[in-house]
Amino acid sequence: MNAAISLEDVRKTLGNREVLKGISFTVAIGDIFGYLGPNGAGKTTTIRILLGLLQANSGNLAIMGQDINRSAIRMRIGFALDPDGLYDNMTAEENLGFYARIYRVSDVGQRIAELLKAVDLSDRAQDKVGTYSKGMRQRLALARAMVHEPEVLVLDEPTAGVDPSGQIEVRQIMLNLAHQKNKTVLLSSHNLDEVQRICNRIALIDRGEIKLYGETDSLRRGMSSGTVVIETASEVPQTILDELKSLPKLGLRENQEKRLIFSPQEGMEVSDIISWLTERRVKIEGAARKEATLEEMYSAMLKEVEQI
Amino acid sequence: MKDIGLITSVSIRNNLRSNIIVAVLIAVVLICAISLVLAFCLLAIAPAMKTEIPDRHTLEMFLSVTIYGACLIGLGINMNVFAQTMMREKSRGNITALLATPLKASHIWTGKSLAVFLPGLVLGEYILRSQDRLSD
Repeated sequence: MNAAISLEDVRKTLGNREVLKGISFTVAIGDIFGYLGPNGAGKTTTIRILLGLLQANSGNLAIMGQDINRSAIRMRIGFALDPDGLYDNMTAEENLGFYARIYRVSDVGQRIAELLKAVDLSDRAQDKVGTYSKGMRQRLALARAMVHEPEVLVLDEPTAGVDPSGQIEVRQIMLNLAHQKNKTVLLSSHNLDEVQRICNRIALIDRGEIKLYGETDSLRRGMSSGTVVIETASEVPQTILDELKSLPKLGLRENQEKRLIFSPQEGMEVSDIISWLTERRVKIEGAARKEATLEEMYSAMLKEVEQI
Repeated sequence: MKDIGLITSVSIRNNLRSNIIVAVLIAVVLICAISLVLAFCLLAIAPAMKTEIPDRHTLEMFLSVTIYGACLIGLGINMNVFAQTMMREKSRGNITALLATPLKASHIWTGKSLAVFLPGLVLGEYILRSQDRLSD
Protein backbone atom coordinates (compact mmCIF):
# COMPACT_ATOMS: atom_id res chain seq x y z
CA MET A 1 0.00 0.00 0.00
CA ASN A 2 1.38 3.43 -0.99
CA ALA A 3 0.94 5.46 2.16
CA ALA A 4 -0.11 9.08 1.87
CA ILE A 5 -0.19 9.48 5.64
CA SER A 6 1.43 7.19 8.17
CA LEU A 7 1.54 7.46 11.93
CA GLU A 8 3.42 5.00 14.09
CA ASP A 9 3.22 4.91 17.88
CA VAL A 10 2.52 8.66 18.14
CA ARG A 11 2.30 9.98 21.68
CA LYS A 12 1.35 13.42 22.88
CA THR A 13 0.97 14.79 26.38
CA LEU A 14 -0.78 18.11 27.04
CA GLY A 15 -0.24 19.27 30.60
CA ASN A 16 -0.48 16.16 32.76
CA ARG A 17 -2.83 14.34 30.41
CA GLU A 18 -1.65 11.87 27.79
CA VAL A 19 -3.89 12.84 24.87
CA LEU A 20 -2.47 10.34 22.36
CA LYS A 21 -1.31 7.00 23.77
CA GLY A 22 0.71 5.58 20.92
CA ILE A 23 -1.63 5.75 17.93
CA SER A 24 -0.75 4.12 14.62
CA PHE A 25 -2.57 4.09 11.30
CA THR A 26 -1.89 4.41 7.62
CA VAL A 27 -3.90 6.20 4.94
CA ALA A 28 -3.33 4.98 1.39
CA ILE A 29 -3.14 7.30 -1.61
CA GLY A 30 -6.66 7.94 -2.96
CA ASP A 31 -8.36 6.89 0.28
CA ILE A 32 -11.16 8.81 1.94
CA PHE A 33 -10.22 8.02 5.49
CA GLY A 34 -12.74 8.61 8.26
CA TYR A 35 -11.28 9.54 11.61
CA LEU A 36 -13.96 9.14 14.27
CA GLY A 37 -14.23 9.50 17.98
CA PRO A 38 -16.14 11.23 20.76
CA ASN A 39 -15.26 14.74 21.95
CA GLY A 40 -11.89 14.85 23.66
CA ALA A 41 -10.79 11.54 22.11
CA GLY A 42 -7.71 13.08 20.45
CA LYS A 43 -8.91 13.68 16.87
CA THR A 44 -8.09 17.37 16.69
CA THR A 45 -4.74 16.81 18.43
CA THR A 46 -3.83 14.24 15.76
CA ILE A 47 -4.83 16.66 13.01
CA ARG A 48 -2.86 19.49 14.58
CA ILE A 49 0.20 17.25 14.78
CA LEU A 50 -0.26 16.24 11.12
CA LEU A 51 -0.40 19.90 10.11
CA GLY A 52 2.69 20.76 12.13
CA LEU A 53 0.76 22.96 14.57
CA LEU A 54 1.75 20.72 17.49
CA GLN A 55 4.81 18.56 18.04
CA ALA A 56 4.37 14.91 19.01
CA ASN A 57 6.33 13.77 22.06
CA SER A 58 7.38 10.58 20.31
CA GLY A 59 6.56 8.41 17.31
CA ASN A 60 7.04 8.51 13.57
CA LEU A 61 4.88 10.59 11.25
CA ALA A 62 5.15 10.95 7.50
CA ILE A 63 3.08 12.48 4.73
CA MET A 64 3.82 11.23 1.23
CA GLY A 65 6.88 9.57 2.74
CA GLN A 66 8.32 12.84 4.04
CA ASP A 67 8.88 14.08 7.57
CA ILE A 68 5.97 16.36 8.48
CA ASN A 69 8.24 18.91 10.14
CA ARG A 70 9.78 19.93 6.81
CA SER A 71 8.08 23.07 5.52
CA ALA A 72 8.19 21.72 1.94
CA ILE A 73 5.67 19.05 2.86
CA ARG A 74 3.13 21.73 3.74
CA MET A 75 2.95 22.61 0.04
CA ARG A 76 1.49 19.13 -0.48
CA ILE A 77 -1.19 19.38 2.21
CA GLY A 78 -4.49 21.23 2.07
CA PHE A 79 -6.62 21.71 5.15
CA ALA A 80 -10.00 22.87 6.36
CA LEU A 81 -10.17 23.32 10.10
CA ASP A 82 -12.85 24.28 12.56
CA PRO A 83 -13.08 27.32 12.93
CA ASP A 84 -12.46 27.88 9.22
CA GLY A 85 -10.04 30.83 9.53
CA LEU A 86 -11.54 32.75 6.61
CA TYR A 87 -11.41 36.56 6.71
CA ASP A 88 -14.95 37.89 7.15
CA ASN A 89 -14.10 41.35 5.80
CA MET A 90 -12.66 40.01 2.59
CA THR A 91 -14.50 38.58 -0.42
CA ALA A 92 -14.28 34.92 -1.44
CA GLU A 93 -11.96 35.91 -4.28
CA GLU A 94 -9.69 37.89 -1.97
CA ASN A 95 -9.55 35.05 0.57
CA LEU A 96 -8.57 32.53 -2.11
CA GLY A 97 -6.17 35.01 -3.73
CA PHE A 98 -4.36 35.52 -0.43
CA TYR A 99 -3.78 31.79 0.04
CA ALA A 100 -2.95 31.30 -3.64
CA ARG A 101 -0.14 33.84 -3.26
CA ILE A 102 1.09 32.18 -0.07
CA TYR A 103 1.33 28.88 -1.95
CA ARG A 104 2.93 30.61 -4.98
CA VAL A 105 0.17 29.51 -7.38
CA SER A 106 1.14 30.64 -10.88
CA ASP A 107 -2.12 31.71 -12.55
CA VAL A 108 -4.03 33.03 -9.53
CA GLY A 109 -7.04 34.51 -11.37
CA GLN A 110 -7.77 31.41 -13.40
CA ARG A 111 -7.27 29.08 -10.43
CA ILE A 112 -9.67 31.10 -8.27
CA ALA A 113 -12.31 31.08 -11.00
CA GLU A 114 -11.97 27.29 -11.36
CA LEU A 115 -12.25 26.70 -7.63
CA LEU A 116 -15.24 28.99 -7.14
CA LYS A 117 -16.98 27.20 -9.98
CA ALA A 118 -16.14 23.80 -8.45
CA VAL A 119 -17.68 24.75 -5.11
CA ASP A 120 -20.57 26.60 -6.78
CA LEU A 121 -19.75 30.04 -5.40
CA SER A 122 -18.97 31.91 -8.64
CA ASP A 123 -22.04 34.13 -8.27
CA ARG A 124 -21.02 35.18 -4.74
CA ALA A 125 -17.32 35.68 -5.52
CA GLN A 126 -17.45 39.43 -4.87
CA ASP A 127 -19.41 39.18 -1.61
CA LYS A 128 -17.75 39.47 1.76
CA VAL A 129 -17.35 36.11 3.51
CA GLY A 130 -19.03 37.57 6.60
CA THR A 131 -22.32 37.50 4.67
CA TYR A 132 -22.01 33.78 3.81
CA SER A 133 -24.05 30.96 5.35
CA LYS A 134 -22.25 28.18 7.24
CA GLY A 135 -22.55 25.84 4.26
CA MET A 136 -21.09 28.42 1.88
CA ARG A 137 -18.22 29.06 4.29
CA GLN A 138 -17.45 25.34 4.46
CA ARG A 139 -17.44 25.11 0.68
CA LEU A 140 -15.13 28.10 0.48
CA ALA A 141 -12.87 26.53 3.10
CA LEU A 142 -12.72 23.43 0.91
CA ALA A 143 -11.84 25.60 -2.08
CA ARG A 144 -9.07 27.22 -0.05
CA ALA A 145 -7.78 23.77 0.91
CA MET A 146 -7.52 22.91 -2.79
CA VAL A 147 -6.06 26.20 -3.98
CA HIS A 148 -2.55 24.77 -4.52
CA GLU A 149 -3.78 21.36 -5.71
CA PRO A 150 -2.40 19.42 -2.74
CA GLU A 151 -2.08 15.66 -2.79
CA VAL A 152 -3.41 15.25 0.75
CA LEU A 153 -6.43 16.98 2.27
CA VAL A 154 -6.93 17.10 6.02
CA LEU A 155 -10.50 18.09 6.87
CA ASP A 156 -11.69 18.64 10.41
CA GLU A 157 -15.48 18.37 10.62
CA PRO A 158 -16.18 19.93 7.20
CA THR A 159 -19.95 19.48 7.53
CA ALA A 160 -20.36 20.54 11.16
CA GLY A 161 -23.30 22.93 11.49
CA VAL A 162 -24.18 22.65 7.80
CA ASP A 163 -27.78 21.99 6.72
CA PRO A 164 -28.59 18.67 4.94
CA SER A 165 -28.40 20.11 1.41
CA GLY A 166 -25.09 21.78 2.24
CA GLN A 167 -23.80 18.48 3.65
CA ILE A 168 -24.65 16.71 0.39
CA GLU A 169 -22.78 19.36 -1.60
CA VAL A 170 -19.68 19.20 0.63
CA ARG A 171 -19.77 15.39 0.52
CA GLN A 172 -19.98 15.43 -3.27
CA ILE A 173 -16.97 17.73 -3.50
CA MET A 174 -14.96 15.35 -1.28
CA LEU A 175 -15.97 12.34 -3.39
CA ASN A 176 -15.03 14.14 -6.61
CA LEU A 177 -11.65 15.02 -5.16
CA ALA A 178 -10.86 11.45 -4.20
CA HIS A 179 -12.29 9.68 -7.21
CA GLN A 180 -11.63 12.07 -10.07
CA LYS A 181 -8.43 13.71 -8.92
CA ASN A 182 -7.00 10.83 -6.85
CA LYS A 183 -6.50 13.03 -3.79
CA THR A 184 -6.17 11.51 -0.35
CA VAL A 185 -8.69 12.81 2.17
CA LEU A 186 -8.43 12.46 5.94
CA LEU A 187 -11.84 13.37 7.27
CA SER A 188 -12.45 13.89 10.95
CA SER A 189 -16.16 13.84 11.71
CA HIS A 190 -18.88 13.17 14.24
CA ASN A 191 -21.33 12.44 11.46
CA LEU A 192 -21.30 8.63 11.34
CA ASP A 193 -23.77 8.44 8.47
CA GLU A 194 -21.56 10.69 6.37
CA VAL A 195 -18.43 8.66 7.15
CA GLN A 196 -20.26 5.42 6.33
CA ARG A 197 -21.36 6.85 2.99
CA ILE A 198 -18.08 8.20 1.71
CA CYS A 199 -15.11 6.73 3.61
CA ASN A 200 -13.52 3.52 2.40
CA ARG A 201 -11.34 3.19 5.52
CA ILE A 202 -11.89 4.33 9.07
CA ALA A 203 -10.19 4.59 12.44
CA LEU A 204 -12.09 4.98 15.69
CA ILE A 205 -10.20 6.74 18.44
CA ASP A 206 -11.23 6.95 22.07
CA ARG A 207 -9.27 8.39 24.99
CA GLY A 208 -6.14 8.62 22.87
CA GLU A 209 -6.19 5.02 21.61
CA ILE A 210 -7.25 3.58 18.27
CA LYS A 211 -10.05 1.12 19.04
CA LEU A 212 -11.05 0.11 15.56
CA TYR A 213 -9.19 0.49 12.29
CA GLY A 214 -9.61 -0.93 8.81
CA GLU A 215 -11.77 -0.97 5.69
CA THR A 216 -15.28 0.27 6.42
CA ASP A 217 -17.04 -2.58 4.58
CA SER A 218 -15.02 -5.40 6.10
CA LEU A 219 -15.39 -3.90 9.58
CA ARG A 220 -19.13 -3.67 9.11
CA ARG A 221 -19.29 -7.27 7.89
CA GLY A 222 -17.12 -8.40 10.78
CA MET A 223 -19.24 -6.62 13.35
CA SER A 224 -22.51 -7.90 11.90
CA SER A 225 -21.33 -11.53 12.50
CA GLY A 226 -23.87 -12.84 10.01
CA THR A 227 -27.04 -11.21 11.30
CA VAL A 228 -30.04 -12.21 9.14
CA VAL A 229 -33.23 -10.18 8.95
CA ILE A 230 -36.44 -11.84 7.75
CA GLU A 231 -39.50 -9.73 6.94
CA THR A 232 -42.79 -11.59 7.26
CA ALA A 233 -46.22 -10.74 5.81
CA SER A 234 -47.93 -11.04 9.19
CA GLU A 235 -46.97 -11.42 12.81
CA VAL A 236 -45.40 -14.83 13.53
CA PRO A 237 -47.53 -17.02 15.84
CA GLN A 238 -46.20 -17.55 19.36
CA THR A 239 -45.98 -21.33 18.92
CA ILE A 240 -43.55 -20.92 16.02
CA LEU A 241 -41.59 -18.37 17.97
CA ASP A 242 -41.29 -20.76 20.90
CA GLU A 243 -40.13 -23.50 18.55
CA LEU A 244 -37.60 -21.12 16.99
CA LYS A 245 -36.24 -20.20 20.43
CA SER A 246 -35.59 -23.86 21.15
CA LEU A 247 -33.34 -24.12 18.06
CA PRO A 248 -30.00 -22.47 18.87
CA LYS A 249 -28.57 -23.27 15.41
CA LEU A 250 -31.02 -20.77 13.86
CA GLY A 251 -30.24 -18.26 16.62
CA LEU A 252 -33.41 -16.15 16.85
CA ARG A 253 -32.28 -12.95 18.48
CA GLU A 254 -35.19 -10.54 18.21
CA ASN A 255 -38.82 -10.52 17.21
CA GLN A 256 -40.10 -7.09 16.10
CA GLU A 257 -43.72 -7.56 14.93
CA LYS A 258 -43.22 -8.52 11.28
CA ARG A 259 -39.47 -8.77 11.48
CA LEU A 260 -37.33 -11.61 12.82
CA ILE A 261 -33.65 -11.08 13.50
CA PHE A 262 -31.37 -14.14 13.60
CA SER A 263 -27.74 -14.69 14.48
CA PRO A 264 -27.39 -18.18 12.99
CA GLN A 265 -24.63 -20.55 13.96
CA GLU A 266 -21.79 -21.23 11.52
CA GLY A 267 -22.82 -23.37 8.60
CA MET A 268 -26.43 -22.15 8.61
CA GLU A 269 -27.47 -20.18 5.53
CA VAL A 270 -30.27 -17.66 5.00
CA SER A 271 -31.99 -20.27 2.80
CA ASP A 272 -32.07 -22.73 5.76
CA ILE A 273 -33.98 -20.23 7.88
CA ILE A 274 -36.34 -19.41 5.00
CA SER A 275 -37.14 -23.08 4.30
CA TRP A 276 -37.68 -23.76 8.03
CA LEU A 277 -40.19 -20.89 8.19
CA THR A 278 -41.98 -21.71 4.88
CA GLU A 279 -42.40 -25.30 6.05
CA ARG A 280 -44.46 -23.82 8.89
CA ARG A 281 -46.48 -21.68 6.48
CA VAL A 282 -44.92 -18.39 7.49
CA LYS A 283 -45.23 -16.01 4.51
CA ILE A 284 -41.92 -14.30 3.88
CA GLU A 285 -41.72 -10.90 2.17
CA GLY A 286 -37.99 -10.36 2.33
CA ALA A 287 -34.72 -11.68 3.68
CA ALA A 288 -31.25 -10.16 3.90
CA ARG A 289 -27.95 -10.44 5.67
CA LYS A 290 -27.60 -7.29 7.71
CA GLU A 291 -24.31 -5.41 7.96
CA ALA A 292 -23.62 -3.45 11.12
CA THR A 293 -23.99 0.29 10.70
CA LEU A 294 -21.18 2.55 11.75
CA GLU A 295 -23.43 3.81 14.51
CA GLU A 296 -23.76 0.26 15.89
CA MET A 297 -20.01 -0.25 15.66
CA TYR A 298 -19.42 3.06 17.39
CA SER A 299 -21.84 2.33 20.24
CA ALA A 300 -20.38 -1.18 20.61
CA MET A 301 -16.92 0.33 20.94
CA LEU A 302 -18.08 2.87 23.54
CA LYS A 303 -19.86 0.11 25.52
CA GLU A 304 -16.69 -1.98 25.47
CA VAL A 305 -14.67 0.97 26.79
CA GLU A 306 -17.23 1.60 29.56
CA GLN A 307 -17.06 -2.06 30.62
CA ILE A 308 -13.25 -1.84 30.84
CA MET B 1 10.33 39.73 2.72
CA LYS B 2 7.72 38.93 0.07
CA ASP B 3 5.73 36.90 2.60
CA ILE B 4 5.91 39.64 5.23
CA GLY B 5 4.75 42.19 2.66
CA LEU B 6 1.86 39.96 1.64
CA ILE B 7 0.72 39.40 5.25
CA THR B 8 1.10 43.13 6.06
CA SER B 9 -0.85 44.34 3.03
CA VAL B 10 -3.69 41.85 3.50
CA SER B 11 -3.89 42.57 7.24
CA ILE B 12 -3.92 46.37 6.69
CA ARG B 13 -6.72 45.96 4.16
CA ASN B 14 -8.61 43.72 6.56
CA ASN B 15 -8.07 46.11 9.49
CA LEU B 16 -9.17 49.06 7.37
CA ARG B 17 -12.38 47.26 6.51
CA SER B 18 -13.04 46.43 10.13
CA ASN B 19 -12.45 50.13 10.91
CA ILE B 20 -9.67 49.39 13.43
CA ILE B 21 -7.16 51.74 11.80
CA VAL B 22 -9.81 54.42 11.37
CA ALA B 23 -10.55 54.18 15.10
CA VAL B 24 -6.84 54.60 15.92
CA LEU B 25 -6.52 57.60 13.57
CA ILE B 26 -9.62 59.26 14.99
CA ALA B 27 -8.36 58.70 18.55
CA VAL B 28 -4.93 60.25 17.83
CA VAL B 29 -6.39 63.19 15.90
CA LEU B 30 -8.94 63.83 18.66
CA ILE B 31 -6.24 63.82 21.34
CA CYS B 32 -4.14 66.30 19.31
CA ALA B 33 -7.17 68.54 18.71
CA ILE B 34 -8.20 68.53 22.38
CA SER B 35 -4.62 69.35 23.41
CA LEU B 36 -4.49 72.28 20.99
CA VAL B 37 -7.86 73.61 22.16
CA LEU B 38 -6.63 73.37 25.74
CA ALA B 39 -3.46 75.26 24.81
CA PHE B 40 -5.43 78.12 23.21
CA CYS B 41 -7.88 78.20 26.13
CA LEU B 42 -4.95 78.59 28.50
CA LEU B 43 -3.64 81.44 26.35
CA ALA B 44 -7.05 83.05 26.34
CA ILE B 45 -7.58 82.90 30.10
CA ALA B 46 -3.99 83.86 30.98
CA PRO B 47 -4.64 87.67 30.85
CA ALA B 48 -7.77 87.29 32.95
CA MET B 49 -5.80 85.39 35.53
CA LYS B 50 -3.20 88.16 35.38
CA THR B 51 -0.46 85.74 34.58
CA GLU B 52 2.27 86.45 32.12
CA ILE B 53 1.40 85.52 28.50
CA PRO B 54 3.77 82.72 27.55
CA ASP B 55 6.42 83.57 24.99
CA ARG B 56 6.85 81.72 21.68
CA HIS B 57 9.44 79.33 23.15
CA THR B 58 7.16 78.28 26.02
CA LEU B 59 4.26 77.76 23.59
CA GLU B 60 6.43 75.60 21.35
CA MET B 61 7.46 73.55 24.38
CA PHE B 62 3.81 73.13 25.35
CA LEU B 63 2.84 72.13 21.81
CA SER B 64 5.69 69.61 21.63
CA VAL B 65 4.76 68.02 24.91
CA THR B 66 1.05 67.76 23.96
CA ILE B 67 1.80 66.33 20.51
CA TYR B 68 4.34 63.84 21.86
CA GLY B 69 1.82 62.96 24.55
CA ALA B 70 -0.86 62.40 21.91
CA CYS B 71 1.51 60.19 19.92
CA LEU B 72 2.33 58.17 23.05
CA ILE B 73 -1.35 57.70 23.83
CA GLY B 74 -1.84 56.74 20.16
CA LEU B 75 0.93 54.17 20.57
CA GLY B 76 -0.83 52.81 23.65
CA ILE B 77 -4.08 52.53 21.69
CA ASN B 78 -2.13 50.85 18.87
CA MET B 79 -0.75 48.23 21.25
CA ASN B 80 -4.21 47.59 22.60
CA VAL B 81 -5.59 47.26 19.08
CA PHE B 82 -2.72 44.91 18.16
CA ALA B 83 -3.57 42.65 21.12
CA GLN B 84 -7.27 42.71 20.22
CA THR B 85 -6.55 41.95 16.55
CA MET B 86 -4.36 39.01 17.50
CA MET B 87 -6.97 37.65 19.92
CA ARG B 88 -9.75 38.04 17.36
CA GLU B 89 -7.75 36.36 14.61
CA LYS B 90 -6.73 33.55 16.96
CA SER B 91 -10.31 32.85 18.05
CA ARG B 92 -11.53 32.88 14.43
CA GLY B 93 -8.79 30.46 13.39
CA ASN B 94 -7.04 32.92 11.01
CA ILE B 95 -3.69 32.56 12.78
CA THR B 96 -3.95 28.75 13.00
CA ALA B 97 -4.73 28.56 9.29
CA LEU B 98 -1.70 30.69 8.46
CA LEU B 99 0.56 28.63 10.73
CA ALA B 100 -0.45 25.48 8.83
CA THR B 101 0.83 26.97 5.55
CA PRO B 102 4.50 26.91 4.48
CA LEU B 103 4.94 30.45 5.87
CA LYS B 104 7.44 30.89 8.71
CA ALA B 105 5.87 31.81 12.05
CA SER B 106 8.28 34.76 12.38
CA HIS B 107 7.10 36.16 9.02
CA ILE B 108 3.46 35.88 10.09
CA TRP B 109 4.07 37.73 13.38
CA THR B 110 6.19 40.41 11.71
CA GLY B 111 3.58 40.98 9.00
CA LYS B 112 0.74 41.15 11.51
CA SER B 113 2.66 43.56 13.76
CA LEU B 114 3.58 45.84 10.88
CA ALA B 115 -0.06 45.92 9.77
CA VAL B 116 -1.05 47.53 13.06
CA PHE B 117 2.01 49.66 13.84
CA LEU B 118 2.86 50.92 10.35
CA PRO B 119 -0.20 53.22 9.97
CA GLY B 120 0.46 54.61 13.46
CA LEU B 121 4.11 55.25 12.62
CA VAL B 122 3.18 57.01 9.38
CA LEU B 123 0.65 59.20 11.22
CA GLY B 124 3.14 59.97 14.01
CA GLU B 125 5.77 60.97 11.45
CA TYR B 126 3.22 63.22 9.68
CA ILE B 127 2.18 64.92 12.94
CA LEU B 128 5.80 65.56 13.96
CA ARG B 129 6.67 66.98 10.55
CA SER B 130 3.59 69.21 10.69
CA GLN B 131 4.66 70.47 14.10
CA ASP B 132 8.15 71.24 12.73
CA ARG B 133 6.59 73.23 9.88
CA LEU B 134 4.37 75.12 12.34
CA SER B 135 7.38 75.98 14.48
CA ASP B 136 9.29 77.26 11.46
